Order: sequence, then structure tokens, then C-alpha cells
Amino acid sequence: MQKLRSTLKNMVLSLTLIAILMSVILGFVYIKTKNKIEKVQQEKDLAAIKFVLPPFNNDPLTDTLNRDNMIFYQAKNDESPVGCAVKVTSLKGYNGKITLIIGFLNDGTINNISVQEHKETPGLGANIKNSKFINQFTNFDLSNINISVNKDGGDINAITGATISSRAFCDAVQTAYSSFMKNICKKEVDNICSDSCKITNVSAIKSILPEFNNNPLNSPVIINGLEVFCCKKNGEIIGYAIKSYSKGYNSNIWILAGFLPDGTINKIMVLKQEETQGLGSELTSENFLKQFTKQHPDKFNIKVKYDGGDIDALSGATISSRAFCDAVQKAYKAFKSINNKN
Amino acid sequence: MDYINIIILALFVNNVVLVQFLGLCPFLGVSNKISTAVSMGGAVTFVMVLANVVTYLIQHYILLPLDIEFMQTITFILVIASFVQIVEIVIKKISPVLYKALGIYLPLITTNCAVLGVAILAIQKNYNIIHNVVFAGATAVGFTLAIIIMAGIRQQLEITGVPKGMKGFPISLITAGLLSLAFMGFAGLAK
Amino acid sequence: MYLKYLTNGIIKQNPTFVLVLGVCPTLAITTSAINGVGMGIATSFVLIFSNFFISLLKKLIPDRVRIPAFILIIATFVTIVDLIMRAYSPGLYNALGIFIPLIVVNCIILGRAEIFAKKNNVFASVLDGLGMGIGFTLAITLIGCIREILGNGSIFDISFVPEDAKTILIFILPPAAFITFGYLIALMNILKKKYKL
Repeated sequence: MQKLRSTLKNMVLSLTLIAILMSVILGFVYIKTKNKIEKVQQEKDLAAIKFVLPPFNNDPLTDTLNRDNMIFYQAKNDESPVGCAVKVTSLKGYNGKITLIIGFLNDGTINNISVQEHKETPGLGANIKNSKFINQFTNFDLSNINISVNKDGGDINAITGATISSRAFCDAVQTAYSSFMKNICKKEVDNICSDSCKITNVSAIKSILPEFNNNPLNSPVIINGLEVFCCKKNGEIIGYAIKSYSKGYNSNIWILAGFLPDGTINKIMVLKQEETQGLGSELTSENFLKQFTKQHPDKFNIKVKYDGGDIDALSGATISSRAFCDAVQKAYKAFKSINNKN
Repeated sequence: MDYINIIILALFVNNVVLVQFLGLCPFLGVSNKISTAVSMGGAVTFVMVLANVVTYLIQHYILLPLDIEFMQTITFILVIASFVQIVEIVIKKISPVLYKALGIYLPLITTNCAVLGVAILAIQKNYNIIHNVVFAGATAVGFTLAIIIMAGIRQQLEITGVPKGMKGFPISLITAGLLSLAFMGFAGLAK
Repeated sequence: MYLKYLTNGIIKQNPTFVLVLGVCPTLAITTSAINGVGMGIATSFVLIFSNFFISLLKKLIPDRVRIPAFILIIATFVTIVDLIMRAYSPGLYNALGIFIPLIVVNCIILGRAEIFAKKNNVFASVLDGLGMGIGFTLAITLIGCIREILGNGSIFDISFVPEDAKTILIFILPPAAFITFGYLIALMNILKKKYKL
């Protein structure tokens, strides 16, 4: 039989026939595998939950709570709660999303963490799976530590060469922790008290001020409720790092502002924010922060343009931007107080 | 500001050819002359951007609502194949010279894994339609950039002495490897 | 006689080192030996079935629509591989990631369909698919082994260096993939010349 000639009728018929044949085969396989695929995902989740929590005898997959875009799997032993496994995803990984299953005990301490999904670089970001890294989060009261990497003023040692992956991991843990405390323990974690975002590492201060050689953490001063760290080089004051906050769209935004002795802002960094992803969260972006660098609050009006000031607010995040400016102004007020004293 | 981020990531940090390994067949096949490289880049850009728009629409208005996401591969590749066919006809009419120069490589854009890969990646990253277009455009420019640099180097290599066993693919691949190493230096440029 | 169709794809016309087809997955996937094996098997599956159907239906496919027709068939089997992997081997599925749907545009499959399956009988086409599949699998497993040994100190996930040892990390990253591949092709060229393979 000769090969079919390429007439329009033949072409259409042929393609249609093949399309139908292929669809039948494909549809068949799809139906056969659909249930298995769902089961596989469930088994994976259950195994992770077993791994991160102490023994339980209910089925946490059926005992779930959906809050704040996260799934809470509640584990019980004979009806008394043993803990809660939270599935949380951070989109801030270096190569894509990182999904964790975190096992919280009833008192809010983390029992263990399982990295479910990630696309981080092997040998670098992929090391977030190492127990050495994860142990920094487990088995102690999280309200006493600052869940972010050292570079951001926190207590977590990032993985060398994988700051972004480590940051994303911390971000996921922080989000899960706040939500867990809010929804399960019914406790507000974000408190006004300046124990939040406790600065324990001097590298954050180093990143916003010129070189100094004292240890400003030794003797912080509290002015107007804000912590002020005085930085000196060879006995002479080269600047002040002031920790300030203001109520943003979702919760308090904490910043660390570095002032030079003449009042000029050297640099500002964001310590903590829980603003809307993609909008207010852009407070941490270089483009927004650089507006403040080297400006003097007496000459540069630190308010958003909408309120008559000189700052370009983030589009779609006026409230977050306003709060940020407010925090900076509070910090400057504290600066003026301490500067007058000197 | 988001857009600048996407552009820098697609052009340099995550360059489609040198870092993500997509689009290697045409990259190795067409990069021996700068002029053909430029044309290939142009054709790919056109197909990639348009295909991304259509595949986005298909994903969001057909596949998702009807819950037939497993048809993604088939529908996407058919869309791409059709576009390439259209581009082929258009180029043949507008510039027969260009058509002849590109030769076999034009239909091969269909099998350019970069086009299908970028369409799928954009879906995975959950981009909206505008981000999608920017992403596709920037990726295609990144492809063009890589292929032109490669062509420039290969033209130079033609006149230098290359050991016999290394001639052809081996030296091209090693060049690509060194280029890839150079592009790694862009890491951290954008996040 | 038919044996030749099988062995052709393994050495003489090895798709990776001789025909240099299917480069994208070759470089991206080969960060470990087991990935190489997994991808090789998946691709072989698609290759065999697509060759089979294309050869079977070759008289029914008019020349002008052959590319879309081939692609329809290939894409179907790639999706089947995707679904089966997701159900029965999720670890491998996650490792291979986006490169599973990309098997569709693996030039090896379209290339063999165009050059072989549309002209030869079904049995020969299946053997050709099998041979090319084996050749491809062997090739990418080899590259995977090299990159895994040098870059991770392990082979098939079995570590043979202490946990803290410094490995040549770059081998897991893109640049070394290109370079390793380049050197292997050069080596293949030299061996072929020397032993007149």
C-alpha cells in the first residue's frame, strides 16, 4: 500500500485518527494512575509527620486545619494532643519554593523539621536538610530567639554560601511559628516589647554603619522605648544604631537605622516584617531602602509623597511604607535625644 | 521593579542556555556564524514570546478549569509546533534569503527545548500574563546573547589551531563550559 | 541481521557521543549516576513505543503532517511516563523535574522517528529504539558517574568519602557538565579512530 498522499482530506483524517488513538491510550493510563498518585503524596506527608513528631495514634491526615495558607496536621495519642505538624512553603528559595513540614509540640517548641521539597543547589542550599542546620531551630523556646540569619541581626547561622536558602528557611519557620502560636496556642507572638528581634550579633550593626571597634551590644541604652547602640572607633563616636518599629499593615515592622553623629542616615535595614508578599514585603528591597541612605531628616522629609514628604512609597503598599517612615522618624527622635545628651 | 528583576535573572543569572541547559541543540548547531546566530535568536524570540502567551491562556482558561492538567505537554508542544510552522511560512514570504540561511534549523525551533521549557517554567512560577511576556522576552534575549557570544568565539576558533581530536563538538562544549563559568559570576546579582 | 539494528545505537552511532543528539537532558540530568539511569530508562521507554507506533502507522501519515503527527505520538508517551513515574517512583520524578516533559523535544526521539522509524518495519524500529535507548542510558550514566564521584564523593548515592570532605563541587554545576561532555566526545573520537569502530 502506497503512503497516503498529502491531500487536505488525508492530512486532517490522519491527524484526527492519531489524536483519537493517542487520547484513548493516554486517558486509560491517567485513570489507572490517578489514585496511586494521590496516595503517594499522602504517604509522603504521613511519613514526614511521623518523622517530625513524637508517636501518635490518630490519623493526622484527616485531622487537619487550614490557616494562613498552611496546613496544620494535628496528632493525638488517645485523644490527647501530642503536637501539630505544619506544612509551610516559602517562595524565597534561591531556585524556587522550599516546602517544610515542621513538628511543633504543644508548648511551641519545634521537635523536628523535614524538608519536603526544594530545588536548591546541591552542596550549598541543599544543606538546609542537614541536621547541623536544623538543630538550630529544635528543642528550645522560640520566643527567646530571633528567627533570622546573622546577617539580618538574628540568631541563626546561615549555611556558608547559601544565605538566600537559609533566609527562606527561616522565613518559613517564622511564618509557621507565628501562625501556630496564634491559631493553636492562641497567643500573640509579636509583642511590643523590644525582646522581639533581639540583636545578638554585631554583624547587623556593622552592615549599616562605618567601621567601629567597640562592642555596641555591651551597653545598649533605651531611649523612648527604643534600643540605641552606640558605636565607637578608638573611643570616638562614629554613629548610632537604633532599633525602631511601627505598626505596619499586618503587624509591627522592625528596623535598624544607622545614624552618623551629625544626624545623617547612613543606612537602614529591615529586621522583621510580615507585610503582604510582593507588596509591603518589598520594604526590604534595595530600591526602597536606598532612598534613605545619606539623607538628613532635617533636610529630607521622611514621609511618603502622598503625605507631602520626599519618600516614594511602594506601589500598592502605602500603609507599609508609611509605617516604615514612622519607624525611621521615631528612631531619629531617639537619636536627637541621645545626641543632645552628648 | 519586579520586571527589572525578572529581566536580569533571565538574561544573566539564570541564562537559559548556559545555566539552565535549555536550547542546546540549536545553540551548538547554529552558532558557527554570527549572522545566522542573530537570525536564529530573532526567530526564537518571536516564537518564544507568542508561544508563552498562548500557553498561558491555555493553561488558565482550558486546562485548569477542565482539570485536565495532564494534557499540558501535548497541548503546549502542539501550540509551539504550529507557531514554528507559521513563522516558517512568514519568513519564506518576506525574506527567502533568510529562509535559506536558516535552513533546517527553522523547523528545529520546535524541538528547541528552551521554548517548551520556558513555557512550562513560567507556569510553575505562577506568573501573570505581563510577567510571563517579560520573562519569555528576556529569556529569548538571553538565548540570543549566549548564541552570539558563542558564534563570535567559534569564528575566532576557526582560524586558530585546535588539536584534531578536539575539533568540532568537543572544543565548542568546552567553550560553552567556560562561558557558563563566567556567567556563574552573575549569581547574586538579582533576587 | 537484525542484531545490527540493536548494537548500532550502543557504540557505532551512540546518540550522545557520536550523533550528539539530546544534549539538553544529557547535561542537566547527569548530576548523579542514578539520575542518569532513571532518565535513560524513561527516554528509552518513550523511544521504543514512539518508534513502534510511528513505524506501525507510517503508511497512514501523509508527508506534510508528519512532524505534528510524530510529536502527538511522542508527547502521549512522554505524558504516560510522567504519570507512571509520579505514581510509582516519586523520588526519581522530583529529581528529574522539568526534564520529563522535555523528553518530548529530546532530539533523539524525533531524530530516530524521522531517520529510521518512518522508513523501516516495526520490528527493526523497536530494536533501533531499544539500541539507541541503551546507548543513551549508558552514556548519560557514565557522565553521571563522573560528575557524582568528583562532585559529591559518592556513586549511586553510596558515599565513599567522610561527610565533611571537600569535593570538587563545580562538577555538579553547569560549567563542568559542558566540559566533561566535551572531553568525553573527544575521547570517543580518538577511540573510534584508533579502533576503527
